[in-house]
Amino acid sequence: MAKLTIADLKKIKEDFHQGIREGAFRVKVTVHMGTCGIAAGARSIMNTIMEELSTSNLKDVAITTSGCAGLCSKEPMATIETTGEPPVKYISLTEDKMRKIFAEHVAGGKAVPEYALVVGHETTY
Amino acid sequence: METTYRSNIMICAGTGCVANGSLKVKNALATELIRRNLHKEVKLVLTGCNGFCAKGPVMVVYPEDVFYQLVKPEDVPFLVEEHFIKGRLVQKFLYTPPAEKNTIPVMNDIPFFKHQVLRALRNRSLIDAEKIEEYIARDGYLAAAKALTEMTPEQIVNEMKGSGLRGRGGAGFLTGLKWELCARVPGDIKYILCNGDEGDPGAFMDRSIMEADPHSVLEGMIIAAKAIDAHYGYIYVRAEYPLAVHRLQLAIDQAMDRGLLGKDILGSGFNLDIEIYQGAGAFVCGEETALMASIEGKRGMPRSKPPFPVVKGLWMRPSVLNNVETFANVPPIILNGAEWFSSLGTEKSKGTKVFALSGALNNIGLVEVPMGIPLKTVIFDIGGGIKNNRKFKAVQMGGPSGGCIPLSLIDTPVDYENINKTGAIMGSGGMVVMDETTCMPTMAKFFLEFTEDESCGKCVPCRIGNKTLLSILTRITNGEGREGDIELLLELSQQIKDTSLCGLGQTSPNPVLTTIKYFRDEYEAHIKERRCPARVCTPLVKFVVDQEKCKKCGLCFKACPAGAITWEKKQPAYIDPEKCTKCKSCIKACRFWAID
Amino acid sequence: MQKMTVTVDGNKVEVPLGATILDAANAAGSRVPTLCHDSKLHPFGACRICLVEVEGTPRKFTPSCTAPAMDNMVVKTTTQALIEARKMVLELLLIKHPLDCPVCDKAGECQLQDLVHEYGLAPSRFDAEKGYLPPDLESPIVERNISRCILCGKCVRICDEQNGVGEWAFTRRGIKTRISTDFDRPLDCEFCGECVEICPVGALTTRQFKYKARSWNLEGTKSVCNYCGCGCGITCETRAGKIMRVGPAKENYLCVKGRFGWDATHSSERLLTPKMRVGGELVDCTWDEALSVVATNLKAIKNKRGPESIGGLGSVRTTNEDSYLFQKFMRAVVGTNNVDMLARLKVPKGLNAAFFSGELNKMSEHEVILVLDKNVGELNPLTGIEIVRAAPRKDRKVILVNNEFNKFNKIASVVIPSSSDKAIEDLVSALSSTKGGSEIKKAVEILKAATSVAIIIPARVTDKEFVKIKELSGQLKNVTHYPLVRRSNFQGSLDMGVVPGYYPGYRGVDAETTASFASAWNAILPDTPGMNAVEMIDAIAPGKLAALYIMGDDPVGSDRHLKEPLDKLEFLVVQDIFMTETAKIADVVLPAASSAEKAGTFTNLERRLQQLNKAEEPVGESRPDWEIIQDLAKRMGGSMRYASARDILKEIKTLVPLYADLAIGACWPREKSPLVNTDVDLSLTSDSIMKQEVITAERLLFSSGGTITRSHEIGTIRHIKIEA
Repeated sequence: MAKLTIADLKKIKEDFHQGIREGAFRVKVTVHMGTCGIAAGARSIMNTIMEELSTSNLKDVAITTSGCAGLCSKEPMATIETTGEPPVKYISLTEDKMRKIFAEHVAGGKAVPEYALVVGHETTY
Repeated sequence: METTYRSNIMICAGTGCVANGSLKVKNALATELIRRNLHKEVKLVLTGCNGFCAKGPVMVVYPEDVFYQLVKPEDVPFLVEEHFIKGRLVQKFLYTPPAEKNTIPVMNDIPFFKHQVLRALRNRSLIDAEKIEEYIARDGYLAAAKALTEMTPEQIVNEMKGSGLRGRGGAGFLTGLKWELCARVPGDIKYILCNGDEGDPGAFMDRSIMEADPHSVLEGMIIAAKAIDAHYGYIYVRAEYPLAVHRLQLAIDQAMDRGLLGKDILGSGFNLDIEIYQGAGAFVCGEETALMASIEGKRGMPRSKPPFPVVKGLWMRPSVLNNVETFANVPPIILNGAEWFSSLGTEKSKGTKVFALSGALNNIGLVEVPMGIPLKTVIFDIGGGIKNNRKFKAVQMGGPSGGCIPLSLIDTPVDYENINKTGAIMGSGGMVVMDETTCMPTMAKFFLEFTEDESCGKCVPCRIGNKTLLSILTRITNGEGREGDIELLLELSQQIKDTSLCGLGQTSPNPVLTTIKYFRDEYEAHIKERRCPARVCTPLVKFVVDQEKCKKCGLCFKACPAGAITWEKKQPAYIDPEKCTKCKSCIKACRFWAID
Repeated sequence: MQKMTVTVDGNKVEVPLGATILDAANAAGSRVPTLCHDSKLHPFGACRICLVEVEGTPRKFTPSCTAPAMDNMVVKTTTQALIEARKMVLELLLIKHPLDCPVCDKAGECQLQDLVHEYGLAPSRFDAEKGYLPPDLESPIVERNISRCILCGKCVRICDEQNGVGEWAFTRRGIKTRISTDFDRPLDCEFCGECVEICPVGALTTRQFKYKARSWNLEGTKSVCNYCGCGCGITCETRAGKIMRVGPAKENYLCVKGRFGWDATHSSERLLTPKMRVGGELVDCTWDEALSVVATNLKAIKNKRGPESIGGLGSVRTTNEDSYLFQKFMRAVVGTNNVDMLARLKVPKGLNAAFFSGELNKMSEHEVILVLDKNVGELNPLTGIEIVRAAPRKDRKVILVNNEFNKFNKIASVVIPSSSDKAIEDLVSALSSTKGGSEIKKAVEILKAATSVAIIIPARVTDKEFVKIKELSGQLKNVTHYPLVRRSNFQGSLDMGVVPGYYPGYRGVDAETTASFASAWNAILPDTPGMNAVEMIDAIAPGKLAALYIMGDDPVGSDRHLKEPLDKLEFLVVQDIFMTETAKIADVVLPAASSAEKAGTFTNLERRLQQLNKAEEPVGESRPDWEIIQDLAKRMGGSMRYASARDILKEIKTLVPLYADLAIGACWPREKSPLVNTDVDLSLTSDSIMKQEVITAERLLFSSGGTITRSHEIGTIRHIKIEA
């Protein structure tokens, strides 16, 4: 792979945000897969979403992972972010909960308050 | 002296608002405030997202607690004129709650998130740790680029010293000073080392960072390497952290592929290779000199300091070893400046600290809070208070090297100086919260068992002293304590602290010392009254129902697995000593402390 | 050198940069107790008994053995707090340490015992937890009593840092930590016993000394080890005139042979009385009878067939005085130059001419050490130790030629994995071209850049290798050679002229020198050159040589084919300490005293003059070699009147310029040698005899001529299988 320059770094950053702004995907689902999440069953949550996604016809959903979201006692957790909307964090997920969230939030665009903990970004400065 | 501001404007700098131009609004505000000579009265603060991204840029003005939304740079002069000079609310930007109430709370509604400020964990839940592009998209490697191409080693050191960042591994040595000391030592071969050998029971800060944001550690190491002129680095991670090892290795490979590690990083001419060294999980290998011995392939035994590792470290070469969290803190300092970093925290403890909350709390997890936050806030607000409506008894900070802090000191601000005053230590960030069902001598014994087992066995006070402390604690919790045991514990503990070789032995008696300091009555109850107030030490529990305290509820009867309890409605319970197996199920079940 | 001023207990002292606080305290005369510290080892800082107080440091106490002294430092070594801290350390140690001093061989020289005595501990406040672990009774030589161990780690460190072996290691953690071998198996090492020597308590003791004596009843006699050319200084510790154990003189190393092999002197196989052949059988006789028979027979043969029909084979293990008198006897009393040593068949070529040995303790001054003989540690253990000491501790580069694997591989910068002859050839050709494998190239690069090089010369070199090594040396800067010499006093016996062509001091047998020795010795000396050892053996069959006087050598034991020619001799005298294979076929056997039973001097491979002292009385009727020779000479009409070995040394000093001003402990300088810059080769070659070394054990290390086979202690390890 070609070695990056500083200009490349900035371009990667630009392109990435461009991508987000232009809505390459309408929905981004992040499953928190740190050791705590995995131990609590994040893999089966991940599998459920993948299954749901493949059986649905949705083409505008990105599924990704990240590390521990901080609230280990409420794992498995997932964050769902729809373009233009603040992200919603779901906690203590099960496969059934995830299916419902998928149907209502990911596909339907309407958050599921009974499984959600919080909406918004954490303070990062 | 701190300036008192009349007003604070909290401008959201969450991803959504920044995309909507909140930084431009902030700049416009700053300019306007100076123009109006209000900059000494009104303070501008950038905050994280509070959830109203759709209405961004948003801002809150304190103390009025007024929420403005959809502010544009061109609106700023009008807004300043109206709000700060004329003192009128600007209706145009005021937030109107929607008719349909959003039932999902926002970040500020949830104490767990409200009090947190993420710096070391800035990318948590935002990026995929296995994709370097996502890290780059969050300003990743820009700090390294700046350090490598625009800064001299002296400038990096000065920025770090100015920031006041102190080692997050526990000892709290000024990071910039450590780098400076090493940079000054002559030597053609130096090493930059990262300590990921997190071993305290109840601590998982470093693991989480390595798993969630491995590139931030690498970037911190690149910057440090430039500061001390090192071209080789090791990350020492215990093999029990397979996911951390996997993601770090992936990160190293990706960075190598893209020229962010290896030869001529980002075309700057600077070289740095980083290798992971997997430790076998000995606690003592978290001690810097033992860690280096371990990398050298030797038994992980500490050696005496001085000479310090900055002079003679790995393979007797000058080396800087920093903790994972410390490195993760470095890139934003280089990008945003020392002043930015030191804007949070207390006089001598700057920035934020990551804590791993565990024990008898409702919210167990990983939190990052500004230094100086009251301990109470961490435990009762962020931690959500004690589970099962029990009472808070103490919090163990700093793991086996730390000490306990009782309820009476719950207002202690969390920073290096104030925590040290209590007899506990800041440590690497483990907070184990205990409720009233914890027996303090047993808790001290638990940690002593750990340190006694994890002692490398090199120096006499740690090897035999800790074993002796443990023997005394064991006899106390077995109901065989002797008159004078408390004094013996105190004296031996102090001697172990004074004479041990490394940090392990120098701190291992802290749990004993602090539990005696704050819970001496419990020790006395064990020794003099042959009683365990928390009903934990089985040999000291009589397994007799206190007729007066018994509320005749029958919970113990239902809990007993041995059928040893007889109970009828409206009658106090009775425990048959013949059948009782002393399993303590009844004690756990009883809500009225009626079983002695 | 930069100096620092340190105030210790109110006394100002100057110490060099790099000194520790302990060094400063010692310089100031303040006694700081230590348990884990040893000046031979890297600082360790484990025992915490050497803590001191340093003004202005954040911590209450500072370990003085590891902390560097700083300029203007103010140190207190004995405060009440320090005494309390040290007492606590001792009190803690005694929780575990068994109080079995009455049956512990270390009692009386145990550092823990001394410290507990010094600090006068009150009864312990803690319950004893002795945790008895059974002693290791399986290892040869060394007994390991883990319960007594205080884990100072000295054994671990000396075995690694000095010996390069690393047999000991810490295993387990916390209170369960112990010193152990791999998987706790019995020791399988060089058995040098350095770990026992350095152990401050009775955790490691020797089986040889077990229950032999209390240390305070021992008297020490300084002497020299008689096993190899290194000539290590030893202290023979005796009780009631008997050696109980042997340790190093001063602070030096002893190998397994030096420390434990002395018990050959107590072997039941020692010759106790003279013997003579009566009716085909060797029978005990008196000294008078034996010497009369020898004198009579030698005189008769000399008269009948001329002095050149008598030969003398000297020894490489007798003292300079013995050897000097032996050759003087042969030349001045018998009247022949037929005097030589068979051991010349086993020396490196060029010794004392092309290759003079450097001083061993200066090995580490060389930037690079080129080891051309992988067996260096087995042949001359101290030379091996000096290489290990130099490499990791002083950052010297070692280039090792080794087609197998041994301890030197671990410390070598470059290992050339081929045989010595091939490696030498490759190195020479690579010096002038760019040819060669990667190891050779790397080695040459290092050698070319080095400002000084030490070369370990193989114990045996062929003519071709000899030329190549000379060529190699010529192209490098500041080369010092270290030839390997296996026999203890080979150098001394050569110096003393136990060679047919040279009088003592390498003064060639010519008319002028002969005249000067004739006048000094007041004798008529032969004017014809003598036969060398090989020629003498060859001369027996044709009848040219009729009698042989062998002192301290066992030709038949070294090569059983030699029995045949020796059997043909008219008269054979063997003077030895054991009934050797050669003695068995002798006509007269004269019992000699061992090196522990007599005084005298050795000259080791460094050409260092060393003093042997008598540690015990000669066993039975045995006598020092020089006394026997002097007695014999008198009976043959010679005039020898020496009252002691010292008298002989005086005469040597007057006749041998090399020794004239040579003090005990000094090396004679190579420049003074008459052979310097000559092509003289003091080695012998033969296609027929003594073609092979006799190895008496599985490892060269445990093998050293016939004496070692009579050591009981060495015998206990001889059968141990050592795998590389």
